[in-house]
Amino acid sequence: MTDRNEAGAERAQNRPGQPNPEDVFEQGRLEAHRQAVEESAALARAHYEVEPGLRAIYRLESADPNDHRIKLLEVNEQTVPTGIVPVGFPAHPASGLHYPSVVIEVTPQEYEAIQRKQLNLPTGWEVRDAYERPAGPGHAGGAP
Amino acid sequence: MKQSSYAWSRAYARQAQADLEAREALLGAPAPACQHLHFLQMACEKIAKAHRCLGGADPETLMHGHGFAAKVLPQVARELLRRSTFVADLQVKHVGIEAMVRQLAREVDLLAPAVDDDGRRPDNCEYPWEDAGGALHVPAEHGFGSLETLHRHRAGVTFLKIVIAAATELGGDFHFPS
Repeated sequence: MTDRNEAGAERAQNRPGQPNPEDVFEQGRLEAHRQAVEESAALARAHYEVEPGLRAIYRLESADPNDHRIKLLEVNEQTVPTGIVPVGFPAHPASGLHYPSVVIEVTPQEYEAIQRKQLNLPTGWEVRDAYERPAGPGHAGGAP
Repeated sequence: MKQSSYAWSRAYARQAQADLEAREALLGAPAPACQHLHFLQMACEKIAKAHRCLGGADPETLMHGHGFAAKVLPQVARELLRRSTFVADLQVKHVGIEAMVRQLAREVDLLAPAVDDDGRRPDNCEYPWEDAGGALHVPAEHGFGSLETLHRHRAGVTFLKIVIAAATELGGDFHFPS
Protein backbone atom coordinates (compact mmCIF):
# COMPACT_ATOMS: atom_id res chain seq x y z
CA MET A 1 0.00 0.00 0.00
CA THR A 2 2.92 2.32 0.79
CA ASP A 3 4.40 1.79 -2.66
CA ARG A 4 1.08 2.56 -4.27
CA ASN A 5 0.74 5.78 -2.24
CA GLU A 6 4.27 6.84 -3.14
CA ALA A 7 3.59 6.19 -6.81
CA GLY A 8 0.43 8.25 -6.56
CA ALA A 9 2.33 11.10 -4.89
CA GLU A 10 4.82 11.13 -7.74
CA ARG A 11 2.06 11.43 -10.31
CA ALA A 12 0.43 14.20 -8.31
CA GLN A 13 3.73 16.10 -8.29
CA ASN A 14 3.76 15.95 -12.06
CA ARG A 15 0.48 17.89 -12.16
CA PRO A 16 0.51 20.32 -9.23
CA GLY A 17 -2.93 21.03 -7.81
CA GLN A 18 -4.61 18.29 -9.79
CA PRO A 19 -4.95 15.01 -7.91
CA ASN A 20 -5.01 11.98 -10.11
CA PRO A 21 -8.66 10.82 -10.25
CA GLU A 22 -7.57 7.20 -10.28
CA ASP A 23 -5.57 7.72 -7.08
CA VAL A 24 -8.48 9.47 -5.43
CA PHE A 25 -10.80 6.61 -6.38
CA GLU A 26 -8.33 4.01 -5.19
CA GLN A 27 -7.80 5.79 -1.87
CA GLY A 28 -11.57 5.95 -1.37
CA ARG A 29 -11.89 2.28 -2.16
CA LEU A 30 -9.13 1.33 0.26
CA GLU A 31 -10.64 3.48 2.98
CA ALA A 32 -14.05 1.90 2.45
CA HIS A 33 -12.47 -1.56 2.59
CA ARG A 34 -10.63 -0.70 5.81
CA GLN A 35 -13.83 0.58 7.40
CA ALA A 36 -15.79 -2.50 6.28
CA VAL A 37 -13.14 -4.79 7.79
CA GLU A 38 -13.31 -2.89 11.09
CA GLU A 39 -17.07 -3.08 11.11
CA SER A 40 -16.93 -6.79 10.31
CA ALA A 41 -14.92 -7.34 13.49
CA ALA A 42 -17.39 -5.23 15.49
CA LEU A 43 -20.37 -7.18 14.16
CA ALA A 44 -18.61 -10.46 14.93
CA ARG A 45 -18.05 -9.30 18.53
CA ALA A 46 -21.70 -8.30 18.82
CA HIS A 47 -22.80 -11.73 17.59
CA TYR A 48 -20.54 -13.55 20.05
CA GLU A 49 -22.17 -11.53 22.83
CA VAL A 50 -25.68 -12.73 22.05
CA GLU A 51 -25.22 -16.17 20.49
CA PRO A 52 -24.00 -18.83 22.94
CA GLY A 53 -23.85 -21.49 20.24
CA LEU A 54 -21.35 -19.65 18.03
CA ARG A 55 -18.18 -21.67 17.61
CA ALA A 56 -16.38 -19.60 14.99
CA ILE A 57 -16.83 -16.54 12.80
CA TYR A 58 -14.90 -15.79 9.64
CA ARG A 59 -14.81 -12.72 7.46
CA LEU A 60 -15.66 -13.39 3.85
CA GLU A 61 -14.47 -11.42 0.87
CA SER A 62 -15.90 -11.45 -2.63
CA ALA A 63 -13.95 -11.14 -5.88
CA ASP A 64 -15.45 -7.70 -6.52
CA PRO A 65 -13.08 -5.08 -4.99
CA ASN A 66 -15.95 -2.60 -4.85
CA ASP A 67 -18.19 -4.92 -2.82
CA HIS A 68 -17.87 -3.37 0.63
CA ARG A 69 -20.70 -5.28 2.24
CA ILE A 70 -19.78 -6.81 5.58
CA LYS A 71 -19.72 -10.55 4.95
CA LEU A 72 -19.46 -13.14 7.71
CA LEU A 73 -19.48 -16.92 7.83
CA GLU A 74 -20.74 -18.05 11.24
CA VAL A 75 -20.54 -21.56 12.65
CA ASN A 76 -23.38 -21.96 15.12
CA GLU A 77 -24.30 -25.22 16.84
CA GLN A 78 -27.65 -23.73 17.85
CA THR A 79 -29.14 -23.16 14.45
CA VAL A 80 -31.09 -25.12 11.90
CA PRO A 81 -29.26 -26.66 8.94
CA THR A 82 -30.36 -25.09 5.67
CA GLY A 83 -27.23 -25.25 3.55
CA ILE A 84 -25.78 -21.98 2.27
CA VAL A 85 -28.41 -19.28 2.74
CA PRO A 86 -26.92 -15.76 2.69
CA VAL A 87 -28.96 -13.50 4.97
CA GLY A 88 -28.79 -9.78 4.25
CA PHE A 89 -29.26 -6.82 6.57
CA PRO A 90 -29.35 -3.11 5.78
CA ALA A 91 -26.71 -0.72 7.03
CA HIS A 92 -27.43 0.56 10.53
CA PRO A 93 -25.24 3.59 11.28
CA ALA A 94 -26.74 3.94 14.77
CA SER A 95 -25.04 0.69 15.73
CA GLY A 96 -21.86 1.50 13.84
CA LEU A 97 -22.57 -0.38 10.63
CA HIS A 98 -22.27 1.89 7.62
CA TYR A 99 -22.48 -0.88 5.04
CA PRO A 100 -25.09 -3.57 4.46
CA SER A 101 -24.12 -6.93 5.89
CA VAL A 102 -24.52 -10.51 4.73
CA VAL A 103 -24.25 -13.44 7.13
CA ILE A 104 -24.00 -17.09 6.15
CA GLU A 105 -24.81 -19.12 9.23
CA VAL A 106 -24.06 -22.83 9.19
CA THR A 107 -24.00 -25.70 11.64
CA PRO A 108 -20.63 -27.27 12.55
CA GLN A 109 -21.49 -30.20 10.28
CA GLU A 110 -22.22 -27.85 7.41
CA TYR A 111 -18.94 -26.07 8.02
CA GLU A 112 -17.14 -29.39 7.69
CA ALA A 113 -18.99 -29.91 4.41
CA ILE A 114 -17.74 -26.49 3.23
CA GLN A 115 -14.20 -27.53 4.08
CA ARG A 116 -14.69 -30.78 2.15
CA LYS A 117 -16.06 -28.75 -0.81
CA GLN A 118 -19.41 -30.54 -0.50
CA LEU A 119 -21.11 -27.22 0.22
CA ASN A 120 -20.09 -24.17 -1.75
CA LEU A 121 -19.96 -20.56 -0.70
CA PRO A 122 -21.31 -18.04 -3.24
CA THR A 123 -19.12 -17.88 -6.33
CA GLY A 124 -15.98 -15.85 -5.77
CA TRP A 125 -16.39 -15.58 -2.00
CA GLU A 126 -13.42 -16.65 0.09
CA VAL A 127 -12.77 -17.08 3.78
CA ARG A 128 -10.41 -14.48 5.23
CA ASP A 129 -9.87 -13.52 8.89
CA ALA A 130 -11.07 -15.67 11.77
CA TYR A 131 -12.63 -13.84 14.70
CA GLU A 132 -12.11 -15.46 18.08
CA ARG A 133 -14.73 -15.32 20.80
CA PRO A 134 -13.71 -12.51 23.19
CA ALA A 135 -12.62 -13.84 26.55
CA GLY A 136 -14.23 -12.93 29.81
CA PRO A 137 -17.70 -12.53 31.25
CA GLY A 138 -20.45 -10.92 29.24
CA HIS A 139 -19.75 -13.02 26.18
CA ALA A 140 -22.35 -15.73 25.83
CA GLY A 141 -20.93 -19.22 25.70
CA GLY A 142 -17.50 -18.39 27.14
CA ALA A 143 -14.40 -19.76 25.49
CA PRO A 144 -14.96 -22.01 22.47
CA MET B 1 -61.44 -25.82 -12.12
CA LYS B 2 -60.36 -25.20 -8.55
CA GLN B 3 -56.64 -25.33 -8.09
CA SER B 4 -55.08 -27.77 -5.66
CA SER B 5 -53.84 -26.87 -2.20
CA TYR B 6 -50.34 -27.60 -3.44
CA ALA B 7 -50.69 -25.12 -6.31
CA TRP B 8 -52.00 -22.43 -3.97
CA SER B 9 -49.21 -23.12 -1.49
CA ARG B 10 -46.62 -22.78 -4.21
CA ALA B 11 -48.25 -19.58 -5.45
CA TYR B 12 -48.18 -17.97 -2.00
CA ALA B 13 -44.56 -19.01 -1.55
CA ARG B 14 -43.53 -17.65 -4.94
CA GLN B 15 -44.99 -14.29 -3.99
CA ALA B 16 -43.16 -14.48 -0.66
CA GLN B 17 -39.93 -15.02 -2.60
CA ALA B 18 -40.69 -11.88 -4.60
CA ASP B 19 -41.19 -9.94 -1.35
CA LEU B 20 -37.85 -11.21 -0.06
CA GLU B 21 -36.14 -10.27 -3.31
CA ALA B 22 -37.58 -6.76 -3.02
CA ARG B 23 -36.26 -6.56 0.55
CA GLU B 24 -32.87 -7.73 -0.70
CA ALA B 25 -32.85 -5.09 -3.43
CA LEU B 26 -33.48 -2.41 -0.81
CA LEU B 27 -30.55 -3.40 1.41
CA GLY B 28 -28.09 -1.10 -0.28
CA ALA B 29 -30.50 1.82 -0.51
CA PRO B 30 -31.04 4.53 2.10
CA ALA B 31 -34.56 3.33 2.86
CA PRO B 32 -36.15 3.65 6.31
CA ALA B 33 -36.45 0.49 8.42
CA CYS B 34 -40.20 0.31 7.91
CA GLN B 35 -39.73 -0.45 4.22
CA HIS B 36 -37.38 -3.38 4.78
CA LEU B 37 -39.68 -4.65 7.49
CA HIS B 38 -42.78 -4.26 5.36
CA PHE B 39 -41.38 -6.68 2.80
CA LEU B 40 -40.28 -9.05 5.55
CA GLN B 41 -43.74 -8.96 7.14
CA MET B 42 -45.47 -9.63 3.83
CA ALA B 43 -43.09 -12.48 3.05
CA CYS B 44 -43.63 -14.11 6.46
CA GLU B 45 -47.39 -13.82 6.10
CA LYS B 46 -47.37 -15.50 2.69
CA ILE B 47 -45.01 -18.26 3.83
CA ALA B 48 -47.36 -18.95 6.72
CA LYS B 49 -50.31 -19.08 4.32
CA ALA B 50 -48.39 -21.36 1.96
CA HIS B 51 -47.72 -23.71 4.85
CA ARG B 52 -51.35 -23.66 5.96
CA CYS B 53 -52.56 -24.37 2.43
CA LEU B 54 -50.60 -27.59 2.53
CA GLY B 55 -52.37 -28.39 5.78
CA GLY B 56 -55.77 -28.12 4.11
CA ALA B 57 -56.82 -24.53 4.90
CA ASP B 58 -58.98 -22.78 2.31
CA PRO B 59 -56.65 -20.54 0.27
CA GLU B 60 -59.19 -17.85 -0.43
CA THR B 61 -60.24 -17.57 3.20
CA LEU B 62 -56.59 -17.32 4.16
CA MET B 63 -56.11 -14.39 1.82
CA HIS B 64 -57.76 -11.95 4.18
CA GLY B 65 -56.18 -13.23 7.39
CA HIS B 66 -53.11 -11.89 9.19
CA GLY B 67 -50.86 -12.91 12.02
CA PHE B 68 -50.02 -16.52 11.22
CA ALA B 69 -46.24 -16.35 11.21
CA ALA B 70 -45.83 -16.85 14.97
CA LYS B 71 -47.63 -20.16 14.71
CA VAL B 72 -46.14 -21.44 11.48
CA LEU B 73 -42.48 -20.40 11.46
CA PRO B 74 -41.61 -22.33 14.67
CA GLN B 75 -43.16 -25.38 13.00
CA VAL B 76 -40.93 -24.81 9.99
CA ALA B 77 -37.91 -24.57 12.29
CA ARG B 78 -38.92 -27.82 13.98
CA GLU B 79 -39.34 -29.50 10.60
CA LEU B 80 -35.89 -28.40 9.45
CA LEU B 81 -34.36 -29.77 12.65
CA ARG B 82 -36.25 -33.03 12.46
CA ARG B 83 -35.38 -33.58 8.86
CA SER B 84 -31.71 -32.84 9.33
CA THR B 85 -31.45 -35.26 12.20
CA PHE B 86 -33.21 -37.90 10.13
CA VAL B 87 -31.30 -37.39 6.91
CA ALA B 88 -27.83 -36.48 8.01
CA ASP B 89 -27.78 -37.70 11.61
CA LEU B 90 -26.78 -34.25 12.77
CA GLN B 91 -26.50 -33.54 16.45
CA VAL B 92 -27.81 -30.01 16.44
CA LYS B 93 -28.47 -28.44 19.80
CA HIS B 94 -31.74 -26.69 19.26
CA VAL B 95 -32.74 -25.76 22.75
CA GLY B 96 -34.82 -22.63 22.54
CA ILE B 97 -34.68 -22.11 18.79
CA GLU B 98 -38.41 -22.58 18.33
CA ALA B 99 -39.20 -20.17 21.17
CA MET B 100 -36.89 -17.50 19.76
CA VAL B 101 -38.32 -17.92 16.28
CA ARG B 102 -41.83 -17.66 17.71
CA GLN B 103 -40.96 -14.45 19.58
CA LEU B 104 -39.47 -12.77 16.50
CA ALA B 105 -42.28 -14.01 14.27
CA ARG B 106 -44.83 -12.53 16.67
CA GLU B 107 -43.07 -9.16 16.40
CA VAL B 108 -43.19 -9.49 12.61
CA ASP B 109 -46.90 -10.34 12.73
CA LEU B 110 -47.46 -7.15 14.73
CA LEU B 111 -46.00 -5.08 11.88
CA ALA B 112 -49.23 -5.60 9.95
CA PRO B 113 -51.70 -2.77 10.64
CA ALA B 114 -54.49 -5.33 11.14
CA VAL B 115 -52.59 -7.03 13.98
CA ASP B 116 -52.40 -4.72 16.99
CA ASP B 117 -52.66 -6.99 20.04
CA ASP B 118 -56.10 -5.62 20.99
CA GLY B 119 -54.98 -2.04 20.58
CA ARG B 120 -51.86 -2.39 22.70
CA ARG B 121 -49.54 -2.41 19.66
CA PRO B 122 -50.70 0.12 17.09
CA ASP B 123 -47.16 0.44 15.73
CA ASN B 124 -46.94 -0.95 12.23
CA CYS B 125 -44.81 -0.50 9.12
CA GLU B 126 -47.47 0.89 6.74
CA TYR B 127 -49.73 3.57 8.22
CA PRO B 128 -49.33 6.41 10.72
CA TRP B 129 -50.96 5.85 14.11
CA GLU B 130 -51.86 7.86 17.16
CA ASP B 131 -50.70 6.52 20.50
CA ALA B 132 -52.58 6.57 23.79
CA GLY B 133 -51.01 9.91 24.67
CA GLY B 134 -52.24 11.53 21.47
CA ALA B 135 -48.87 11.62 19.71
CA LEU B 136 -48.85 10.86 16.00
CA HIS B 137 -46.25 8.38 14.73
CA VAL B 138 -45.00 7.88 11.18
CA PRO B 139 -43.61 4.43 10.30
CA ALA B 140 -40.80 5.96 8.24
CA GLU B 141 -39.61 7.85 11.33
CA HIS B 142 -40.24 5.11 13.87
CA GLY B 143 -37.73 2.83 15.59
CA PHE B 144 -38.79 -0.79 15.43
CA GLY B 145 -36.84 -2.13 18.39
CA SER B 146 -35.54 -5.66 18.09
CA LEU B 147 -36.65 -5.99 14.47
CA GLU B 148 -34.71 -2.91 13.42
CA THR B 149 -31.61 -4.39 15.03
CA LEU B 150 -32.23 -7.95 13.90
CA HIS B 151 -28.63 -8.04 12.64
CA ARG B 152 -27.44 -8.19 16.27
CA HIS B 153 -30.40 -9.86 17.94
CA ARG B 154 -30.20 -13.39 19.34
CA ALA B 155 -31.35 -15.80 16.62
CA GLY B 156 -31.90 -12.92 14.21
CA VAL B 157 -29.81 -14.57 11.50
CA THR B 158 -31.41 -17.97 12.16
CA PHE B 159 -34.87 -16.43 11.92
CA LEU B 160 -34.22 -14.85 8.53
CA LYS B 161 -32.52 -18.00 7.30
CA ILE B 162 -35.62 -20.02 8.14
CA VAL B 163 -37.83 -17.49 6.35
CA ILE B 164 -35.70 -17.59 3.19
CA ALA B 165 -35.32 -21.39 3.23
CA ALA B 166 -39.06 -21.89 3.77
CA ALA B 167 -39.97 -19.56 0.89
CA THR B 168 -37.50 -21.32 -1.37
CA GLU B 169 -38.71 -24.78 -0.56
CA LEU B 170 -42.44 -24.05 -0.52
CA GLY B 171 -41.97 -22.13 -3.76
CA GLY B 172 -40.85 -25.29 -5.46
CA ASP B 173 -37.09 -24.94 -5.42
CA PHE B 174 -36.35 -27.93 -3.27
CA HIS B 175 -34.02 -27.11 -0.44
CA PHE B 176 -31.48 -29.86 0.02
CA PRO B 177 -30.70 -30.49 3.67
CA SER B 178 -27.03 -30.86 4.33
